[in-house]
Amino acid sequence: MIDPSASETTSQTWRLLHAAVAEVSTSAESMFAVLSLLREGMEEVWIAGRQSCLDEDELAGVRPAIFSALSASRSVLGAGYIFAEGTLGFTGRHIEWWQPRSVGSHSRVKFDVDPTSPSGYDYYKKEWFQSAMGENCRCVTGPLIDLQCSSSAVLTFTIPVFVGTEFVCVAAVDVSLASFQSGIAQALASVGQPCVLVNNARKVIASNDAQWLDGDRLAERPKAGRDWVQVSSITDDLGWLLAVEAGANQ
Amino acid sequence: MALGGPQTGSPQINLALVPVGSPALADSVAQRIAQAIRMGLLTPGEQLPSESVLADHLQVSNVTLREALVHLRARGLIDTKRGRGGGSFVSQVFATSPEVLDVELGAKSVAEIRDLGDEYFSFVTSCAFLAAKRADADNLVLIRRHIDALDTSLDASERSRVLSQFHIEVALATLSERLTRGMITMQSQVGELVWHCAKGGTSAATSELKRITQAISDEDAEGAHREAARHVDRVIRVVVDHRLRIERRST
Repeated sequence: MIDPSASETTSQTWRLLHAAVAEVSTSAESMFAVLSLLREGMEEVWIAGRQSCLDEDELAGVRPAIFSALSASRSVLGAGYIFAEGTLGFTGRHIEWWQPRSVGSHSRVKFDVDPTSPSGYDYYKKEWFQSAMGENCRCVTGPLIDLQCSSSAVLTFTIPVFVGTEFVCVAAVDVSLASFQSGIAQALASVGQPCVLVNNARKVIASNDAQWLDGDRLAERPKAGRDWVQVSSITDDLGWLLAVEAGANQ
Repeated sequence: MALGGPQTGSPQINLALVPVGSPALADSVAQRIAQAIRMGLLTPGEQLPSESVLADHLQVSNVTLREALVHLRARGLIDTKRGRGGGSFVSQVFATSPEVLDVELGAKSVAEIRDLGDEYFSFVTSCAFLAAKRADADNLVLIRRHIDALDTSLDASERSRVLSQFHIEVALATLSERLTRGMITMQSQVGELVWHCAKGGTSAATSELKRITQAISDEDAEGAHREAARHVDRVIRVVVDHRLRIERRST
C-alpha cells in the first residue's frame, strides 16, 4: 500500500536535495574555473616557447597565472603545477607551488620530489596524477592536511594540462575545507533532513547533522535503500555523493 | 615548567601566566626550527634560509633569531660555516648528545616526567582513535612507510625521527589541525627522550606500531586506542626507569 503523503514527502526531499546538489556543484565548479586560469597560463607560455620543454625563464613566466589563481578567492591556500618528467629542460620532476602570505605577497614552497630519497614525495604514485595522465580527468583529493603546504585542512582540486596531445603537467589548487564548507552550509541546511556530502573514499566533506563529522569515514558508500532515502552524485566525475538519511517519517 | 614570580592567586591563573620574555621567545624559535627538522621538513645537511629570511618568516627580530641559532648550535643540531658558501646547516647527525639528554632528564623529577607522559598518552591515544575513523588509503601508505623505515634505520637519532614522523602522520590522518600541532610539539619534547632511554633495539616499538596501524587500517577505533595506550604506557615507563637509573648512578 502506498501512502500518498509519504510519496509527497519523498518528492519534496528530492527537489530540496537537487537544489543542494546544484549549489555544491556550483561551488566545486568555481574552483575548477580557478584551475582554468592556471591551465591557460601554462598553455600560453608553452605555445610562446614553441619547444619540447621549458627552461627556467619560461617556467618563471607561469607565475603571473599562479598569482592570479591565488588572488581569485580567499579560500585558495595554495596553487601551482606538478610537472611530468621531461617537460622541464633543467630538471626531472618538479612542483612549482606557491602560497599566499600577507596581502598581495606570495611565497614559494619547495618540495623534495626525488622518488629515491626516503622523504621524497613520489607524485607519480598519487591517484590524482595517474588519473590526470590516463583519462584527462579532473580530481578532488581530500579533505587532508599537508604539513609542507598550508598545515590546515584542504581539498586539493586538480586538472591535467595538455598541449596538443602531450601531457605537460597537472594544475592544482588547495582550497580551505573550512571556506568550502561555509560556502555550501546554507544549501545543506535547506535540505531540511540529515544529509552528508562524502568523497569517493567514504570520507565526510560536509554535513548538516552532527552525527557525521568532516573527515569521518562512513561504514559504506551510501546507496539509496534502507539507510538512505536519496543519494545523488555531484557532477559525474568527482565521485562525491550527497546522501539524505532515511528519516523517521519515511 | 618553572612558574616565575610570587605564587599568588589561583593555580589556574598561575598556569595561564607563563612569563614571556626575549629568552623565552628565542627558546620557542629554536624549538620551532628543531620541530621542522624532526618532521623532515629540513633534512640533515640542508642549508637553513638566511638569517634575515628566517627572522622575517618567523616574525622575530634578527637578534632573537641569532639567539635561537646559538641554542641550536649548542645542542649540536646545526653547524655554522663561515665565509663564502657559509651559513647554517642542519647537522649531519641531527641529535642532541646523550650526555646533554641525561642532564636534561636528570633535571626533571619523576612526577614531571609522568606528567609529560600523561599528556603524551592523551595525544597518542586520541590520535590513534580518530585516525581509525578517518584515515584513508593515502594516509595508511604514509603511516606504513615510517614503520618500514624504523625496521631499516640505523641509529637512535634516526629512529627517534622516524618514530616522531609516524606519530605526526597518524595525527595528520585525524584531519585535526590542533591535534597535529599539539603532536608536533609533543614529539619535540618526548621523541628524542624515548630512543635515548630505550635499550635493546626497535622490536618492541615496531610491533606495537604495527598493531596500532593494523587497527587503524581495520577502522577499529577502540582497538587503535587500546594498542596506542599499551605503547605509550611502556615507553613512558622506559623513560622513568632511565631517570631512576641516573639517580642510582649519582648516589
